[in-house]
Amino acid sequence: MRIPTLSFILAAVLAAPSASAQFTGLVTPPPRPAPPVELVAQAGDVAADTTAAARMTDMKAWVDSAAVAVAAQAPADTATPPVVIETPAAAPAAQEEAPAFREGAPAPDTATPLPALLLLGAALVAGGAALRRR
Amino acid sequence: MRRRVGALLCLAGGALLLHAGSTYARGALARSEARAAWERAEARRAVRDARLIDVGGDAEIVRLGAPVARLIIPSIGLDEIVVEGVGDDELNAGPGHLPGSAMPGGPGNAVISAHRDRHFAPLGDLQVGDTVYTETGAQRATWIVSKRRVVGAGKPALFSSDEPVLTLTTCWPIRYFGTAPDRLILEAKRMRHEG
Repeated sequence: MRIPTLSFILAAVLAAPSASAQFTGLVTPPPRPAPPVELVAQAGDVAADTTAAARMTDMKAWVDSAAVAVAAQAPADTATPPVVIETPAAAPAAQEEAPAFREGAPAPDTATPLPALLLLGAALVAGGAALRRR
Repeated sequence: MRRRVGALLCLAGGALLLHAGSTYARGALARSEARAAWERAEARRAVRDARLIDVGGDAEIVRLGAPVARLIIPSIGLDEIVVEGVGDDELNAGPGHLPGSAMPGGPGNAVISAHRDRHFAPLGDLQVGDTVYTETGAQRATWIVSKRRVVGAGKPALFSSDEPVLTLTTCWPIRYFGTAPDRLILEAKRMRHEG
């Protein structure tokens, strides 16, 4: 094996463990299995029924209120009032527990790969420059 | 081919240098900001207002990253502003006070940690018997280092105390290529109250 190729492989192998803590790779999640046909059909029915019920209820409320309004003044708008669908509030994201003092706790994590990364980076640049100069 | 491999190595090395260098630069900037904030807040009341947030009722929590104390160790030439918290951002800015531990000078164990390649780089030279000074908005305290030990990273190292104790921690060995496997723990006992 030629020296440049060997040095490149060596650098890649050496850099991988240190750099892994600093960079995030893209991991494609496995494909989700399709839900059974029966469940999809049931879900569709429920959604349709709920919408219809909401419209019916609001129409009745609107007719009642419109009757009162007609008695007071001339109708200006016959549009159906908007149906407000309340969605449940999103659950707050779980917060990471910050390190805090407790009896028998280990010392805070002060370990850092930065010096190693600095040295490795300098070595790679020096090696690369030497290769390009030849 | 050789020139191409060389260029690739330069590029990878440059990226690593850029990442490490920018982290150090951001830390230096945050450190100077913490010192400036500390110096601005010399008045005791102003210091208290600057570092506390109201969480309702009588409870008060120190805001993460806020300067909470000054740590001076003449024997190793260390003079740092301690910030609240031991997360990545806080430890990049300065020595961090472990939330939940006592404030330096108060009753209990006050724990201060920092990186071995930055603010606590000279901590390895600190010996039993050396003097440490701390200042908070409330008081100044003088401490004498009484214990020095090295423990594994995951081993129990911090314990509560009825008496005022100051615990300084950093990674060990100080000079180590990679993620240091141990922790240097220095404990100091308070000598006298200075107001």
